[in-house]
Amino acid sequence: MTARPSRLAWLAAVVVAAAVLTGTARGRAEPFLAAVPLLVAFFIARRPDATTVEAAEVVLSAGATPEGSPLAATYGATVADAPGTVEIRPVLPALLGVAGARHALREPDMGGHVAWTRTARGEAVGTMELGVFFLRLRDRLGFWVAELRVETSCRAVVLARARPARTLPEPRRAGAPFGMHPSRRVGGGTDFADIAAFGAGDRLRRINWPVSLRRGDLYVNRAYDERSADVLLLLDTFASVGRRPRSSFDLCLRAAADLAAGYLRQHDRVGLMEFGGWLRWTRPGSGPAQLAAILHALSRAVISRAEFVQDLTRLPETMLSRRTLIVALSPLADPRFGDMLGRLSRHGFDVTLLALRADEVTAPPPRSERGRLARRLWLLERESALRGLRRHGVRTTNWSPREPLEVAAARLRLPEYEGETRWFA
Amino acid sequence: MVRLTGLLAGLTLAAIPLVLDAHPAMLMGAMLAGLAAASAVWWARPGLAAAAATMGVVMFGAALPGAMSAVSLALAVGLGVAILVVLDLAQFRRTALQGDVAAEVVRRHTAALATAALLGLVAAVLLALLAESGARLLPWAWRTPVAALGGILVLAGLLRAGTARRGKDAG
Repeated sequence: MTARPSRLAWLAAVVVAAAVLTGTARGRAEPFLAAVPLLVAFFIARRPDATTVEAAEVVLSAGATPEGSPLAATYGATVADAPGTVEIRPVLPALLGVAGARHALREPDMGGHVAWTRTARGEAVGTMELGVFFLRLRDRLGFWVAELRVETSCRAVVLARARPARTLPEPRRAGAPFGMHPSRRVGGGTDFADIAAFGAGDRLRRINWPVSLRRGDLYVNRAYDERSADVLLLLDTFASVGRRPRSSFDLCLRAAADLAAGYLRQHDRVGLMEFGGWLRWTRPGSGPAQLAAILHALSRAVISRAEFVQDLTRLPETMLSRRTLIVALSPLADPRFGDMLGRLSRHGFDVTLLALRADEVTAPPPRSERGRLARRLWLLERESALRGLRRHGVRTTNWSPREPLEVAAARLRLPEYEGETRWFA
Repeated sequence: MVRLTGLLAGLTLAAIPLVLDAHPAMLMGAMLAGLAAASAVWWARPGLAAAAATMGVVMFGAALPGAMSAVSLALAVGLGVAILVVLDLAQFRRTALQGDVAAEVVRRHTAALATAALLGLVAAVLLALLAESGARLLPWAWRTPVAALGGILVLAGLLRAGTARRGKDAG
């Protein structure tokens, strides 16, 4: 480790030079004497040249923490032959909220060990590198300083805080049995379908006694079968609007977590696909383990701009089944995402788009006349794109970040939003 | 404690030139230097501390009386210690700014500063005594060779220190 003179050494040199000049100009020895304590302190300082860092590590309080929860990182190092204090200065990602001290000054113990525990708060979903920090070694008075960048392997995973959405986009086609979505088939559900004559296999508790007495024969109430659905959350990773942690991408990540928790709570099978420069896929599944898998996949999601676009309609049936409800989350900042949704719908996929109002993500409405005009034009273009998607059979709704996700999902159930959709096609 | 020590050092820095010459202009300058030194420690500004120290040295030089005396020598040593304290504390506070500083660090730093100040004091007094005795005892003919020898010794010491450190770096 190579030491260099610190700022204090240069400032001391300036003062010593001033003393020498004053003494020379006045022809007196006293100013020289005034510089002696500074010179003595400089020459007795022990340079941290021989200091070596024998071990360094970063230990996290938890492997993965929910968004907004505190996360403690302990930076530790073992330094040999340190002449003075050791400064620990971590390099923290911008998405970690930190309050309090930004660095620490520590005195090595008998074994040369120094450590500092710092608490941060994950402000956005993601995987963050926490293993990099700087060690600055100084002599006792700080005339010499040596710096070393330490890189260890330590990543903090900040997971979305999933609040199960109560209102969810409904699938057009139900899938496997034992779910909560009424299907067109008559079976053992709870939603009333019709009344039919009693037959072999009908349960006694389903007998409609008033009708049976009037008709003089046994009649039973029949109900629609209830089934689960296969849901694929399609995340737009082409582009993001706004600055993290309040960008459109963050809102989409949180919405995806809420939707996944909501669907999984009603026993549906949920998968996740990140569609952007890279195509990443989490296999559909159900249960708490699947929710954890989706939350971890969301924490790895990144915006990846690329010119190469995969054609989702060519994915194998095992990856993207025709019975799957595709719930897309996007600010529609990149037209390629909308184009792909239209293409999927034309190929018979059940596609629902929650289109995030990107203009409400970024800033207050523009004040100038030109700004307002530009915003209106942008909204017209966006509405035109949404209308085009609706023509292709995509169920779309505008989703404002100021309103809960459930409001947008409930709007999808209104008749005017069904538009030209092809139900049960 | 650190701030209080810094303020006292700033006060010393301002007071020393006034002991030698209490001219109104000197009073203004000394007050300015003391204020700058105290501000430098209070707000952790090492650059301001260096400016205050330089100002203090220049004013001290301007306030020196015609003849060298024991008082002026003692004041020069005191000024040196005050400069060291002001500079060091301003830099230490700068390093500790927005940081989590262990109490042990402050204790050891204060001890090291006290040691350095003491050693500086002793060295300055020894140098003053040596210079004074040399000025009194050495005949005029010997003074130039002795001064040259001292200069050569100092240069050799500096060179040795420099080469020894370079050797360590290489190793």
